[in-house]
Amino acid sequence: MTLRAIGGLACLNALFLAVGSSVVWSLRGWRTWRCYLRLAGLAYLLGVTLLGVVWTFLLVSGVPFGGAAILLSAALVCAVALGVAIRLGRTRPVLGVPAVLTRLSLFAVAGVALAGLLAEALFRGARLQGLYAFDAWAFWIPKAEAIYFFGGLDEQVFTRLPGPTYPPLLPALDAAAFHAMGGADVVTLHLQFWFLTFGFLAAAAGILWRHVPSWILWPMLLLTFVAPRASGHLTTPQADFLLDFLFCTAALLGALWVVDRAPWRLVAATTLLGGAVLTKREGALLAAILLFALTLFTFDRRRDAWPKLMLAAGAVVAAGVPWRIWYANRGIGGEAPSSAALDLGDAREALRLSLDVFFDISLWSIVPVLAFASVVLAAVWGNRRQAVLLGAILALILLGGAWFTVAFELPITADEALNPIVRYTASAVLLGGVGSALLLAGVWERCSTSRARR
Amino acid sequence: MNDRVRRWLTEPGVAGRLGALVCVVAATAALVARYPATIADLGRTAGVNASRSFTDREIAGGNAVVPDQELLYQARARIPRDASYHVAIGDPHESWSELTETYAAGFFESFLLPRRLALGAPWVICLNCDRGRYGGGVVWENEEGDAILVRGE
Amino acid sequence: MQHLESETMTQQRLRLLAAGIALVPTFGYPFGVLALGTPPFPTRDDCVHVATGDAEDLEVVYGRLDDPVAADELLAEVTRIGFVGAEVEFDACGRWKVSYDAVETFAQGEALAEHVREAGLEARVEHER
Repeated sequence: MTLRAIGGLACLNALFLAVGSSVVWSLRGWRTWRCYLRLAGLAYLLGVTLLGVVWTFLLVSGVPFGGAAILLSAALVCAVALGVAIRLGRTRPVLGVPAVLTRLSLFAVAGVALAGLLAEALFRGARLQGLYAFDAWAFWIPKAEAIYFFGGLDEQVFTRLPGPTYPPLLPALDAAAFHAMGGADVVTLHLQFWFLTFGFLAAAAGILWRHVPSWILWPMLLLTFVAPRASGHLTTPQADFLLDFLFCTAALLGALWVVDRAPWRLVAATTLLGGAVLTKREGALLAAILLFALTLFTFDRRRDAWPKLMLAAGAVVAAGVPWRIWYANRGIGGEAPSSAALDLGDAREALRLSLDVFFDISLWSIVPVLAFASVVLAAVWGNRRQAVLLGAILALILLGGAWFTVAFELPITADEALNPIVRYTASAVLLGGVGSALLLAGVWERCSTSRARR
Repeated sequence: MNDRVRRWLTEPGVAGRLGALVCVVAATAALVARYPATIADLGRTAGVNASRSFTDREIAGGNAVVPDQELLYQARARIPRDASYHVAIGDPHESWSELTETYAAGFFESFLLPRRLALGAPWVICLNCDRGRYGGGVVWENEEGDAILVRGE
Repeated sequence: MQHLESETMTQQRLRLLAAGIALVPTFGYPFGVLALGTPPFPTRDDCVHVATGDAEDLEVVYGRLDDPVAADELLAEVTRIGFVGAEVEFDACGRWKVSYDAVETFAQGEALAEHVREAGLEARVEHER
């Protein structure tokens, strides 16, 4: 609750940005500082993910987790990335020519200003927020405190608290935040989630900046963030939105990769999916959905794409293995579905629930309706490959929601205390919101091109 | 209808462009409705958070679970950081919420770390429990029957 | 030449407009919030409300402690040297205060506090709220 704690958090997040920036430099180079600004959000998310994955490995290996481990691991990742960048001769950012403004640029300026104002308001709302969310105080934060106080994955805490199979990436990030703040300040910790939210907003805007006109980008992006269920929960110290951020960013990169085939996009997406797998159990399902969809929609160039996707899938699985070994060695199971037989009646009800939750305007405003419309429009007039890819991912996520409701014998209800389907569906809504900007831009561009051609 | 609009509407690809435009206009309209409300909501949240007392803010969700704030702070002050404790839940008291019986032990575990929750621990946090089972002495108690005990030999 | 000049003018005008669009909400909102008061940084001292005059909720506080055992010891010490009637109370900032609340006027409270200070302890007249 002090300025010192906020300053500590700012330093930690600057560290994430520094690590991610060096990684993006090694992946694609930085042409100009404007290009750096555009992709700084993605760099930040990659920094969070990579350090989160490294810290999880350190924790599973029993390396004492403290200030030294945090700084040394960050320095190591930075050094490796910088070494690769220098070896590959990646370009350093230069000043570049000043941007030429048009009247349409004002949409971008207004969008950035509104996003900035929203970020300020979210910061105010989060700064003195108490720990009210049940899952947060019941296990996410105690696990983080256990890492902070005991310097590792304390067996008693990690095997007995609810959700013993939940991966420890988020508790590790929270524990690092406690170290940065100088104490287990669970109130100021909400600001760490503000940084993550802001990082995702910047990442999504930066990735889409050159592909989507600002007058399409900002209304879609901002509406996604101010949807009732999103704005009220973005800074809750739970893993749900972090998982959604990592997954959506990976999916956006994947949707662009199927079109431009830039290798760095697939590497970055794979890294983010590796982080998603270590953030929540649903991360494995979402990663599988994205990789499956990418495999399906690169069938026509399978010789080139599939080996890369196999490698990506291998890396994502490898990221999740050490944690799995850790808890399996301690006799923890129960993550498999309780029911193998599928009751068709239940499945129908569960699918209806999944669709009801997705299209619930009181939760998500009209974001899902716009996502659905964008997929249809893009399938007819826009980039068909991207439309079908994003549409398939959304459909598979909704089917996934129905599947876990049936398989884990959860009640058919949107009550969050009984069924996590609302939290899970947020990943589809977030992807629908930011993905529809990309799809609508494709529609606009292709229809305008056909007009120009005439 | 002026010429420019008419031309725009008769050129190829108009259906797609119109569809995209409708989506963006709908998103903008929804944004115009939601954005100010969100900023106002967040401002209200900030105000409510700032107006809370130090203990209300620090205990937060625990206020709906643990019947007495002082019991939490007494436990934190009296039980050494490297010690372990047991939470004994007795018959429900009128001061309890419907969450107390099920979740109180979990909240103590969260609030009291690095102190460890353990069966048979020397310290006992007693919520209207049968104190006779634990012997030893009462270190602190309140009027609702909650107490902190040190287990007898 | 004239065309270039007018383009530069348009660029300058657009830049000014863009700066306005960006700066007004970005700085307007925080300044608007700051105008309503500086942001609070809560501390455990938020429960200390030093009295400066007569009020209905006056008390003399002998100390606020993080440790209830230390608070009990302070109470015993205060009582031992003759200031009876004090008690230990848990405050809304997670501390225990040793205080005497049967104070009717600020002058009475100040006189008691002065006596306590002369006896080598700390004391201050505060509002009980």
